[in-house]
Formats: sequence, structure tokens, C-alpha cells
Amino acid sequence: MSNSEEDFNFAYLDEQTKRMIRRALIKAICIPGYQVPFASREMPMPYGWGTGGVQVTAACLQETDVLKVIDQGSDDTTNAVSIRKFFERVAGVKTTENTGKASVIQTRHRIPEQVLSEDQILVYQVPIPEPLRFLEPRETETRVMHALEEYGLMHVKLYEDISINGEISTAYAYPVKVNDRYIMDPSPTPKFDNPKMNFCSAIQLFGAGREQRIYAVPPYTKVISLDFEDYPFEASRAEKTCEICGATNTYLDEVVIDDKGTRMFSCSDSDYCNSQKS
Amino acid sequence: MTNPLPFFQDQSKDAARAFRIALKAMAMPGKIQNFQVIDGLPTPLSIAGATLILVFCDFNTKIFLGETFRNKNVEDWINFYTGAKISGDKNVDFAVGHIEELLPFHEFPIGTDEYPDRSANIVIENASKDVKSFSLNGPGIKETLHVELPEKIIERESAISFPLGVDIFLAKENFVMGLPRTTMVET
Repeated sequence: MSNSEEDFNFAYLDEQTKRMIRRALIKAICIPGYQVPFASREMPMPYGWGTGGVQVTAACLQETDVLKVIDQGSDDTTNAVSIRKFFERVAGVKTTENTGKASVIQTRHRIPEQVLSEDQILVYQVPIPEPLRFLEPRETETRVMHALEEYGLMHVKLYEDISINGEISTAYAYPVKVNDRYIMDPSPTPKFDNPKMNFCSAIQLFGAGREQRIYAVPPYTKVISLDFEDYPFEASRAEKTCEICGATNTYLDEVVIDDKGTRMFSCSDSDYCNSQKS
Repeated sequence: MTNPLPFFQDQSKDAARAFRIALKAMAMPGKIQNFQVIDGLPTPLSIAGATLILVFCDFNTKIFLGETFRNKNVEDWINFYTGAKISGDKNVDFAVGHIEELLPFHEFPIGTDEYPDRSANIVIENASKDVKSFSLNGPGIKETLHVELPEKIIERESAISFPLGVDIFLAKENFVMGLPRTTMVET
């Protein structure tokens, strides 16, 4: 027996809303990297707390799912804990912190270190879905730019990075081209994670609640980070070792550990770190 | 009391399970997925065709039905459970029928340059008839797949100019296969 809240429909949203989101999700899968508008609902949490991801997860969840929620790679930060509790309560699904055991993983700004499988869905929480937004504020214009595949502006931005900083200094939300067509914002994941999106086995779904957009990348799809021949893309990370598990190949957080400014580096993916430790 | 019309046993949970199967079908084109069985559906609707209607259609959706599907039982069933408008023309969001009744595909909405998502989902019923072997490539396909598809599926080319196009579900009994616009179908 599930002990989920009985006054709510399964997974909180009403059926009509789920159908609307599901129609958007199917089109998103069929047009990889294209942002499908959807009628985002008010959720019982503020915008900026992952309302887009929560709606996508709610529309996808089935009774037998095992849900994992991460915030900056960690299972135990506020956003992750509250969303995990929310779905335990309104859908009665099992939850886990173990990446391998999860069938749906909702994430804020990280891709797990462990390689994902065909049976998994990765749901990203997205704040600003439009990669061209800070270059061109008008939605009517960016829409035309996508229609015409007019992406020169994005390359100019990366070029300016090089001319000012000597390298492409964009470190997160690093633009990618999906299936040789649409430029897509991978959500503010560190660029270290970008290569994991290319030819990934899992279904990747992106939800932006405030901006009312859904987009997706099907499994085994080409996702290439933009770069230049003489300045190739580099999946950078802090050149340190995790001080908890000793990993040298993971994305690290820099943590201040006392009031004298002492710092330590540790894996941002808490589940991966724990699994390496034991 | 009369028997209720055939439907999901648990609307919310069964619809969620069915959606996940449909999502997987479109995300991994060319692989056969199977829906849960629903008994006693109005003929000639297949379980897969009916399930897709229940998952995706409601009063915001317009459906086109192939000629053999335009009977009172099918229309009443769609009306009762979805409230979707059954349309005589092909300017619709959703279409169900045998392949001959749906051709040419380019008469369905294929989206616009700015909004390629404003395009039809097409369910081809009885998709194991008059088949031929095709090879499939594209997003969602790890290595080239060789599958049997209706011979006339090749005519979908006229309705696809990526990113514009129609997205197809092939249905037979409770089996479904996805064929999104991104899939390259070659003989």
C-alpha cells in the first residue's frame, strides 16, 4: 500500500495538465533541442525551485518508478530533499540516492558521474531555456534565429570570450548543438558535464517552469559543444583530488571549512563520492 | 446498470504507464514496445491506437479518423472519454487510420519554421500489412536497425523537411513503434 496523500491526483497534477505536458514532451523528443512552449502551472513551490522539472517529472512518473533528486550533484541539499519529499507524498513512489537504482532522476545543474542507462530518464530543472537570451532579449527574434539557424551571434560571444580572456571562459550553461540543428542551453550544468550528454543512453528531458518551455534530447543523439578549430572545447574541472574519496576524474566543489578561509575540494556528486569511499 | 465502455482500470496510473511506453517508443524509434491490454474496444481500433488516443487527446485536440474508423462506436468512445473533436479535414493534431486512408501525409500540419511542434501525430493502424524491410538511422538509434514497415511508409518523406514534419506511431494489437521525423528510413 502506498501512503501517498489521497486528496491529490497521482503525482499531484490533474490528468488534463499531464496530457498537455505529455503532448509537449513527445514533440520535444521528436524535435531534439527545440523549445516547445507549454502552459506551465503554478506549483506549490516558488519559481526558481525547479517547477519546470517538477512538472515534467510529475507528467512522467509511474507507480513503479524509483526517483532520485539531486541539487548540484548532491542528494541532501534543500532543493533535492524538498522535491524528493514532495513526490514521496503526492505520488507515493520509492526514492533512492543510488544513481544506478533510480529510474527517474531529477537534477538541478549536474549530470551524475555514473554512466546512465537506456531505462533511465534524466529531468533537468532549467532557469533560462533560451541560449540566445542574453544576446538577444526579444523572444520573437530568438525564435526567428532558431528558425533560420542563424547562430553567428553565439560564436561571436565565444570569440569575445577568447579575445578578452584568452580562452573560452564560459564555464557553465555552455551552448551545445543538438543533432546538427538546434543550439540548446544544457541548463547551468558545468561544462565538465557537456560530453556526457553526447550519445547518452538515457532520455534527457528539460523543463523551464517560469519560462514555460520544455525541450529534450533522445538517447543516442549527437550533442556537440560549440568551439573553434584553434580553441577546441575543453571539459574543465578543478585540478585537484577529492579529499573525501580520492577521485581525480570527477567534478569538484570547493568548500570553505572554517572561519580562516581554509578550503577543501570534494566531489559534487555525493552518491558517487560515497560509492568510491566504501 | 450497463457495462462501462472499455477504459483504463486506474486512469491516472495506467495513463502514466502508457505515456512512458509511448515516450520510449518515440525516443527509441524502430523498437517495438507493448501497452497493457484493454478489452472490448470498438472495432477496428487497436489497443495501441486506443491507448494513444487516451494518453494524448482531450477537448484541446482535434482527431482525424481514417474512413474505416469512422463509425458510431469509435466516435462515441472517443467522445465519451476524451471530448476530442473529430474532424473531417486533415488540419488536426492527431490522426488514426490505415496507411492508405492517411496518405498523403503532407496534407497534415507539419509545423511552421518558428513552431515546428505545431504538427500532427499520426497513428498508422494494422501496421504489419504489406511490409517491406527498411533500415533506420537517426537520434535514438544506437546502431542501424533493420525493421519491417509498411511499404508505403516511404511516402512520409514528402511530409518531412526537418525540423518540420509529422511524427508517426505504428500500431498493431497492443504493440507500438515510434517513427519521429528525425528517423531516416531507407530501403
